[in-house]
Amino acid sequence: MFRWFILATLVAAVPMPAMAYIDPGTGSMLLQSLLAAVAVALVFGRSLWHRVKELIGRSWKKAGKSDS
Amino acid sequence: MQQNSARRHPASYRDPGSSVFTADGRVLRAFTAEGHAQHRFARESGLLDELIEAGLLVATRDAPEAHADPAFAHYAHVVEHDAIPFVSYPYEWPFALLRSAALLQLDVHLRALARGVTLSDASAYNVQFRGVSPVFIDAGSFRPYVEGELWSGHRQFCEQFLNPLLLFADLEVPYNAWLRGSLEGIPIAALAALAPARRWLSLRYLIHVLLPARGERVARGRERQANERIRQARLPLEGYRAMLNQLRRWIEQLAPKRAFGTTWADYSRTRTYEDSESATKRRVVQEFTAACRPGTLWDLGCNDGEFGQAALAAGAGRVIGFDADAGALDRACARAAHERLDLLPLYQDAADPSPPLGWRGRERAGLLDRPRPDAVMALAFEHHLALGRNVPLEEVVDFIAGLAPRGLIEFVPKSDPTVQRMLALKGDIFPTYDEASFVHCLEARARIVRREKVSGTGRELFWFER
Repeated sequence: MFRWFILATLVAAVPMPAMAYIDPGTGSMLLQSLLAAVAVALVFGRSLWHRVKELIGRSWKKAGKSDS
Repeated sequence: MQQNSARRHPASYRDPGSSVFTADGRVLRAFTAEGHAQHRFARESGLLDELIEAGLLVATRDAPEAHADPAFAHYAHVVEHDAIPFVSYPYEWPFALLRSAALLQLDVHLRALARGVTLSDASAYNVQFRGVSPVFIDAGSFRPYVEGELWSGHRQFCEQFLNPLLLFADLEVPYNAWLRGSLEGIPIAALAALAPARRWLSLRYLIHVLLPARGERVARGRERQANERIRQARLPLEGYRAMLNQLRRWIEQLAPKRAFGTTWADYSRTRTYEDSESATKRRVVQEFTAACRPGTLWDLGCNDGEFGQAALAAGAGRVIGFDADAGALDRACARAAHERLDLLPLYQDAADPSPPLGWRGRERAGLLDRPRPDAVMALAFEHHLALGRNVPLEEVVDFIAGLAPRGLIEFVPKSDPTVQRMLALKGDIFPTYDEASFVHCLEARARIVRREKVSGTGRELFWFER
């Protein structure tokens, strides 16, 4: 989880290249900046969700040990 | 030995890293120092070899001897590309070809990213066709990928590939005329305006059409904040690939809503019988082709490519088919793909062929300025111009016979039921449209080698030579 935080911060620190010779379009760029934010949140959220599932799984196993 | 000095191709001016030149029929690309550094990076990553071997990128090899040409004095490096036999443009491509070009663009980009390379742009003019196989021709578009960079070609990809495909597949509006009138593509704002409200529930419509359009509007007047936000944005590689893959999955299953008719498999199965008219026409086409062996044959009114295929089987090198019916073109593309034919079906209105377009009217060659074919055939075609569009018969014949030194023209008489249907509402306002006039017009231009009736309704094939 902490890994993703570090990754996101490192990526943010890299300077970007000059724009390509075509006009990238403000709308598309803003959309991608939104996607990037959503993506980081999703990735962060997904690893959080997996952690939660893992914990629930463990407590289920403990409760159902007599069934195996 | 080179006769003439290389000249820069009029369409190759946007990229500061390289330009395409033509010299004595050869296609050369000259790189500046910076462009060459980027090209070398792409080459050393193994990407170019991979793409060329897979047939996705036009063959490219170093051309050090060409560098001696004074036109390349200020360039750092020159390569040579294989020439594309017939150049065509996105506004001439039927749906199946535009879609296949879009998928090629995405595939090239994904393979590039796998090797740490990216593309500078996403122009539909970076793709050409050999038969119905798309090939990427902009070897100057590759540059090193920088982790976190946004996809700067996204807007262009949407406007030149996605939007026209959506216009036809989703909104049932043909895109050819629009793309011809707007070489930069269909603006995102336009498609957003046309999309029904229901599309706001589609995630991919939101991501590629609606939100970018909204973003553009919102950013107007707030450029400084928008640019700041963009400058700081970082898109992880996984996100970049996800966008490309999402578009790929979307486009792959796009198909015109109103079915074109049967699928190719059904169509070819139900057409096993052949009526005598088709059989006769096919025989004459094959005798003509076997005698003339044209390297390139233009098929005006190619329909589903049936006779183009017959010509290829009899020895034609390649066939370029032209038609204005989207359904017929789709079947022709399916035929060419399925039977692996060197047949390129293109959208064209014979009464209004592609004009020269773009910067100084020279960037995109008009149809009639492209290399002429060795032979032409116009089957079940001339009456569409002479009766359907009221073009004087002598001009129709002069036009067709003027396209190539030899060819086949089918004359459809007024007695034919198709013509009767065409004239039903318009009325018979063509007093001089008859076989005698047709022969007279053709003989003014060429020698009639042979003529043969092909149907009971009076249709006749004329084989001419100038």
